[in-house]
Amino acid sequence: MKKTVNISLGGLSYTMDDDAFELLENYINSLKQRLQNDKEGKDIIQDIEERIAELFSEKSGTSNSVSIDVVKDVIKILGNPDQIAEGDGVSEKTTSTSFTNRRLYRDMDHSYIAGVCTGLGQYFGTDPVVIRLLFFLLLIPKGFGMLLYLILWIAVPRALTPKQKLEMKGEPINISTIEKSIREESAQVKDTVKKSGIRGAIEGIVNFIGRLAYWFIQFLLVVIKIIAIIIAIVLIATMLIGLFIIVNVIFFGGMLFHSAFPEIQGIPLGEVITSMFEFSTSIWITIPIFLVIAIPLFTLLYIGIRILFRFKARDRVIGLIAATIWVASVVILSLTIFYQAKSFTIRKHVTETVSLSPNISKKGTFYIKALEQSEGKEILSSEEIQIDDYTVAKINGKTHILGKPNVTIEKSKNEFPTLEIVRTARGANALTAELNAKNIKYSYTLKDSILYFDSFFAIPTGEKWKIQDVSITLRVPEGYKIYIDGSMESIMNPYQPRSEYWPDEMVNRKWEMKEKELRDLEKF
Amino acid sequence: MDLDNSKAQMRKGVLEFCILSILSKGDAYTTDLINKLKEAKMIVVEGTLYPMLTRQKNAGLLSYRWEESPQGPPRKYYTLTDKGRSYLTELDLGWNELVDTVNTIRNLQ
Repeated sequence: MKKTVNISLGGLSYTMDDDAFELLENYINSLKQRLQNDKEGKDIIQDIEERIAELFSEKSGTSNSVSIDVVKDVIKILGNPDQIAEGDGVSEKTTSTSFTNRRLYRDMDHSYIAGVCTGLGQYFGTDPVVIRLLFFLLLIPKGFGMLLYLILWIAVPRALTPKQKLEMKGEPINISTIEKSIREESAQVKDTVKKSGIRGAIEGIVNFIGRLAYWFIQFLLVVIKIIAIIIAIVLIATMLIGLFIIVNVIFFGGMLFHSAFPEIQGIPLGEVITSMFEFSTSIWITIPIFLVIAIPLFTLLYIGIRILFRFKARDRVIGLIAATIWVASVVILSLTIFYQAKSFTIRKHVTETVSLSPNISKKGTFYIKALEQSEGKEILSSEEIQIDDYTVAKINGKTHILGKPNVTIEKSKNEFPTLEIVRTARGANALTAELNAKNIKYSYTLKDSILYFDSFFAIPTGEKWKIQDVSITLRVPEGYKIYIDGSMESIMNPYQPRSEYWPDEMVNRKWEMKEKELRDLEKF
Repeated sequence: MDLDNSKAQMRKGVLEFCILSILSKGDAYTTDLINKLKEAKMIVVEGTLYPMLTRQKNAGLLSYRWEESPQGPPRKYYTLTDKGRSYLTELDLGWNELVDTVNTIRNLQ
């Protein structure tokens, strides 16, 4: 069985054997190369093609099929391109430029694995054994040679046609060399058919080793594919988990987790944000936050799916849309943060001073205690989030912002003990800042000789977080005795004036105000 | 010096003259021309003829017409133009002169 090609030549059609066609094509191409490619050259080629057609009809008779021998005969009759061009005289100057530059191909005719080494050998004009040895040496440092080989295998084309084989060897492409190349090839085919005996056995073994190496590399390719699939699955999983977490935290306040892990409690981020910042709804901040985080996650998912299924998609369009949305989200987020920052420009404080005189006298000891309550009511919150010194808590279904006051004890210049409560807040202007400060809800109770402090101050429902703060100064005149209860520790100012004690050292002790500072009565 | 090459060069020089001479006896199509030239051993390979024909045609010495053939595709028939005829007359004179000169030289000894 032979591959055939149908051609039309000089107005007639012929069926040509594959090798015959190749030889003819190369002949005509080299003619075209020799003759200048103008009107005259084309005319000559046309004439020659017509003559070839005529000769084909004569030689092949009725069969209409043209073999390589016929083509060779015809070429002999017409003469080789150099002769023809010389006869012309015009193209004499171009006749000598028939050398073609050497090109790198994989030599499949002499290959063990993929013909990379033999191809390189042909290219550099060295024995392929030298190249193979080099590759083998390159295998030692972390298999670098293997990678190089794989890259070359993929990148370098095989030398298939006689023309490519000549280019590989750097031989000039003309009729005689192409013919030679074809002849060599058919000789090789016969050779392989004839192979037998010891030589055949040795080649068989070598071939077997080559096959083994080939299958080993195929196996490696499969391993690489599997690794790619694992990476894809990891990417998809990461993305899904990430998406689950952010949706949960932003929109459900970890409620999905809550059912699974009851010890984790939370309020949706959106709710925390709206209760603290200047937004009527949380969407201006939650959705941009969601998108800013989710788009990179979706990108991971997308890459993962692409690796797994390798479908064709309009990457650029999708990428452009995603990038635009992402940038828009960042812009919205920045704007909201800017407006937020604007509402913090002015700071104001409101001072309230009360005398504690009738209840507390010099004779006895008075006690200070803190109660886990706000506005005199106990806090029973099921869900709360601590942010720095503030707590966002859900009390009776309403979200409250609570803060910790801090209590300082110092010497009073007056005769009687006094309590000074300073409420501080920020606002966009002086008026709102003052209003925000006034609205802070804080209470204490004086019962007999016990002063109860609330452990929390509260920002009224509906009002936003404006760095509200409450600082309480208890001024005690000289000679007064005071017992600081353990519950006070959390609200005591850590830096008490003229005191070298920390709050944890001050609680559960009885103190007396001396000339300058408190003295530990139990110590002395 | 290569004898074959010298002979080929000589033939090449008069090929142009031979083509015009053949055509002066009557129109001919390419294969006719080839057969006649081959018979006379003027050309070894056919290919050399085509560039020559094209050049003469472009110089206005020849023209051709297409004619239906009894078998196969139409054939290109070449014919001598008036310019070609006068050119041939000049070449004839030139040839005779050359032959005389060569003979004179050869007969000197």
